[in-house]
Amino acid sequence: MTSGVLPSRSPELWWAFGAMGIATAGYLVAARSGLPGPGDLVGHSLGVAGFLLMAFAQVGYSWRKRPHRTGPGPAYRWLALHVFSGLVGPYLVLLHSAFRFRGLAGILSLLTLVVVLSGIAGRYWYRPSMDANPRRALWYLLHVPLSAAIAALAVFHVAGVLYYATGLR
Amino acid sequence: MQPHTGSTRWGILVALVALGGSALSWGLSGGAVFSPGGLSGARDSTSLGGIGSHAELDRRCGACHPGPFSGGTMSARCLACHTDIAGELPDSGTLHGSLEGARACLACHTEHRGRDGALTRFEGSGIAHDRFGFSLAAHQERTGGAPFLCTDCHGGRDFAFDAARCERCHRDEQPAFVRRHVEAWGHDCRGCHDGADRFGRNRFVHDSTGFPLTGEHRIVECAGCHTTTRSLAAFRDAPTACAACHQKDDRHRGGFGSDCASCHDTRSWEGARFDHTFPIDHGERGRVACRTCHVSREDWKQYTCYGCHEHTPARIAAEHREEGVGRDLTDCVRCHATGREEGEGGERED
Repeated sequence: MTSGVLPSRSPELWWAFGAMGIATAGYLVAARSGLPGPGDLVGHSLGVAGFLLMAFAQVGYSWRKRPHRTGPGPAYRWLALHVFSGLVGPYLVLLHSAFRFRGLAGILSLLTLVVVLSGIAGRYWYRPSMDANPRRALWYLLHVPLSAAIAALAVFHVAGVLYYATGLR
Repeated sequence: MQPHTGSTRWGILVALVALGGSALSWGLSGGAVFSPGGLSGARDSTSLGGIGSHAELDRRCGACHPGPFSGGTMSARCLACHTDIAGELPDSGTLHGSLEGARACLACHTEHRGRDGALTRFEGSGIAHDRFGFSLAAHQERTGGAPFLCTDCHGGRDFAFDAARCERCHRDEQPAFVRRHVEAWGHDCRGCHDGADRFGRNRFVHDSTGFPLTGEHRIVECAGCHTTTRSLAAFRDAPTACAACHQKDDRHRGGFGSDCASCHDTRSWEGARFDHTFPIDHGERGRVACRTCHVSREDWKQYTCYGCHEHTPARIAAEHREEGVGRDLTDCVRCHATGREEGEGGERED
């Protein structure tokens, strides 16, 4: 591990940036006739895909990293998948929002930014030798609880969409 | 502290608080916490359903969003207030009546874009555009090949046609011509253009009007002939008689009538082909000036033979008296069609 801006031995970051690049290219093509709205086919699809990736980021690694679990696959791969989906998922949700941050969606966006930044800091800034550092505990108290809040608000957001905007046209 | 255990418990607590807070704010805001944006403040001249603008419904989501199990639809709630639109639907001659699936209001209309946000956002492909006086036949692609968008012609809150967008786009294509064109014709593009002819590609064929542009007519600006035209119908009704445009150019002052084409063609006023049946060079002086015989410029059909030779009225009268010929001694050509002394015909007073 390195403390550089982009760790050379972190292929998950490159995969994530690649996926975000592909998503950006597709989004720009779709945006030629105006930004895709959150409820459009493109915007809605981005939201669903982002939500699923974020849900996986939250549940997958949390489930696998428990000390008593030994599989499937090594934990570091699950961590790499956690980083990948934890970056790409929020990015897709950002595109889904059409850059409008109002009400619940705005709160969700802000919390997601904090969680992603805290995740990056925790993964690439802290070192194993800092395990005993109280700031690491603070990171756990920030990254995990805020992720849980995001999950709750995201479910609430989806419920609201289903109630107010789906199947009523 | 065991970080994992502590963070999990803390996370569950935070999630529950978030859920509870959201549910509370949902209840207190009347659902507005889910609003993706403010409602339009656009006002019509009259209130609909007791509402002056959508903005008044900002905290009454249920006014437009029926619950999933209520059996209602958003479109039904739109039409409950917008009765004028509901009235259009059965009539295919109206804008909304012409649309496939017109009852799906959300297919074209949008909300939650703020007080000044647009209320219409549609692809337009389902609209029989021709029916409303403007064909999209020539507006399928922009100059660069990109597809045309509704917003290239429409805009504003009500997504109405915006003639200024015609000018902007066409100025980019032909700045000098469009500047002159607008100066000559004004800004009401749709007054004349119906979208059938393609601007800037010289696709309009004047021959189809029954008045082919030939000769000098080919280089005249439209406004040179259609001087006061301000509508497509007026364009079609433009007079085709030469005199309608060229009366002021008539050197004959109307004396040769208004059928200019009997002598002139559109290449030039000069070089008129005039079949002068009376031989101009019949006398001893050869070709003579028109004015020698046609002394009146007001009527070139009038002529006199007394302007030359020995043709004095007294002498001619005396000679004809001797011959016992004719009373009217002014219309000489009637009997002397070849200009010779011997009459070729006419009446003799016997």
